[in-house]
Amino acid sequence: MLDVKDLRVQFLTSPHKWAVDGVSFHMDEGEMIGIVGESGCGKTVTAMSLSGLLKKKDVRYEGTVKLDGREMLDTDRDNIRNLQGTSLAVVFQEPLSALDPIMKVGPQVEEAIMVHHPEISPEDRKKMAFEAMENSGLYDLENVYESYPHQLSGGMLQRICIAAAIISKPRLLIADEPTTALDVTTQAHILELLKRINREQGTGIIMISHNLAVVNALCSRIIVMKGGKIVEDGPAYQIRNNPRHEYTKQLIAAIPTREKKYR
Amino acid sequence: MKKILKSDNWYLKCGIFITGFILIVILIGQFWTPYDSGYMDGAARLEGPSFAHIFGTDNFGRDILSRVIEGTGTTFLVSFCINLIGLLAGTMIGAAAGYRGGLFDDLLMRICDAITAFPNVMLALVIIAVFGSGDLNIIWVLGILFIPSYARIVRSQFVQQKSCNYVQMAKLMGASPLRIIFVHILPNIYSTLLPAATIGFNNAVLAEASMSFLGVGVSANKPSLGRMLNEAQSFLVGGAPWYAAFVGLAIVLLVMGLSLLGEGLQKEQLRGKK
Ligand SMILES: Nc1ncnc2c1ncn2[C@@H]1O[C@H](COP(=O)(O)OP(=O)(O)OP(=O)(O)O)[C@@H](O)[C@H]1O
Ligand SMILES: [Mg+2]
Repeated sequence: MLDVKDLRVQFLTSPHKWAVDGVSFHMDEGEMIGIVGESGCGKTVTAMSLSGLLKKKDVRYEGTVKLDGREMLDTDRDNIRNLQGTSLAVVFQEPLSALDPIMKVGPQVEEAIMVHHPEISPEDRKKMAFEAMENSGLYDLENVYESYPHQLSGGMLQRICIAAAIISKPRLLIADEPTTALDVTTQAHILELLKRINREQGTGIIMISHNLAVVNALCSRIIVMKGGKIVEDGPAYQIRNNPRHEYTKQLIAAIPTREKKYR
Repeated sequence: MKKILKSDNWYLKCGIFITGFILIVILIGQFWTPYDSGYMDGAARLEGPSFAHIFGTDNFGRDILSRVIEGTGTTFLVSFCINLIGLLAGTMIGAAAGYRGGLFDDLLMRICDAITAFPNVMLALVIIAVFGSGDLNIIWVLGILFIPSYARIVRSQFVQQKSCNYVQMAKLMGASPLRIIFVHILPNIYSTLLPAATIGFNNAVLAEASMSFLGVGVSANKPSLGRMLNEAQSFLVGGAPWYAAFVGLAIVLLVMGLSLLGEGLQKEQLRGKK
């Protein structure tokens, strides 16, 4: 479904450094893969290139990104816009800032439908929003629908963002550290939710995190990045039990375990 | 409304009170004034304030109160139109420049700079001297001269907002630039724009008054505060000082109400941000 070949991204503001330096991977329909790596290793930049969010005038690209056989890097804005919100959706790290502060959250969930299917009536659109919100684990929908972002908790806001992402049943969902801004319990719930969406709706999910433990518990496949490059790519059990690269071993050592805690 | 009455924002309260009062007077003036503002009573020229003529009469024996009420209406309406042109066009230009960025932005902003380099009233005088002072020319000319200040405010807000995550999010949903500008960003800068618009209105009142004081306002047979002040100045010493005083009072009241309103809204907005 998604095919990334030798992707390189360079910001024109720092022309001597590749923020993403030759990343290649393939993703199958309905797969859930995790990308891990330390801060600044290029995870977000990779995700942004996949979603077509980087402006041509800010960055230089090399390589190809194909979603369902369609080239994402070279097409013009209109083509990308048609994919965004239909085939592809993104969930950000900071749910509060990702939402329009003075718009009720309900209509924001409907944004993708409003943009791509203006022919759908407001009532049907609302029904779809309710369904997406329910699938995102929200309840008391009537009330939540009428709320403004600042009235809801972080966990609920992230669920709203997820609802907004899945309302159009995208084939690929990119979640860029979706739980970093949340407390541990909420984190677990949101991660479960993403797993469920992947299982029940067959949405392919790329889960970005700097926490190998999180990705490990969730994803069938893990990509480890360092300094803009992929250092290891394989099934989760293999990465966990039999890491080949020194850096992966360090990451695993960094996971707090019970033995370490009580020693 | 209740919130406003309860709040301790005295600027806002006084502003709303004064401006509201003026608006009511203007509205009443549309249907009824103590005298016909054009009626000349030859027997009562330059009379001081009395029960018959509360503000006195002018050199043609016309009732000053009636003329002040009508003149305030004219000034208000003309300033409103000037401000509206500036606000609408300024918002469009500022939004386009700020959202688009790049060379386009630079070009538009330099044009705005060039216009603001000259004092509005002076530039307006020159333009009107060239094109003549038709009935509505002053509205167009001043309206256009008001565009840059709005364009600048809107542009800076757009530059700030367009990098916000919620805009990125809307983009990721496939929203078009027009949708992002009008549905997402504009409502978010409304609270900045409102006080600016009120202060702009205030400047428009002063500009209109100055222009008609200099004799290039709207058509001569309509009383307007600036023109009346011009007429009154010849009787300032000796003849009828109250004439200028009452007209001046109307201008001061109008400007004060609007600037208090603007200040109040700005305070309210700053408080909202905290
Ligand atoms: N707008 C930008 N302009 C210039 N360089 C940038 C920009 N955004 C990112 N970079 C560079 O790209 C590199 C990768 O950044 P990126 O945000 O992808 O890291 P990350 O892996 O997502 O880190 P984190 O875990 O902190 O989110 C960084 O080293 C940074 O210097
Ligand atoms: Mg990141």
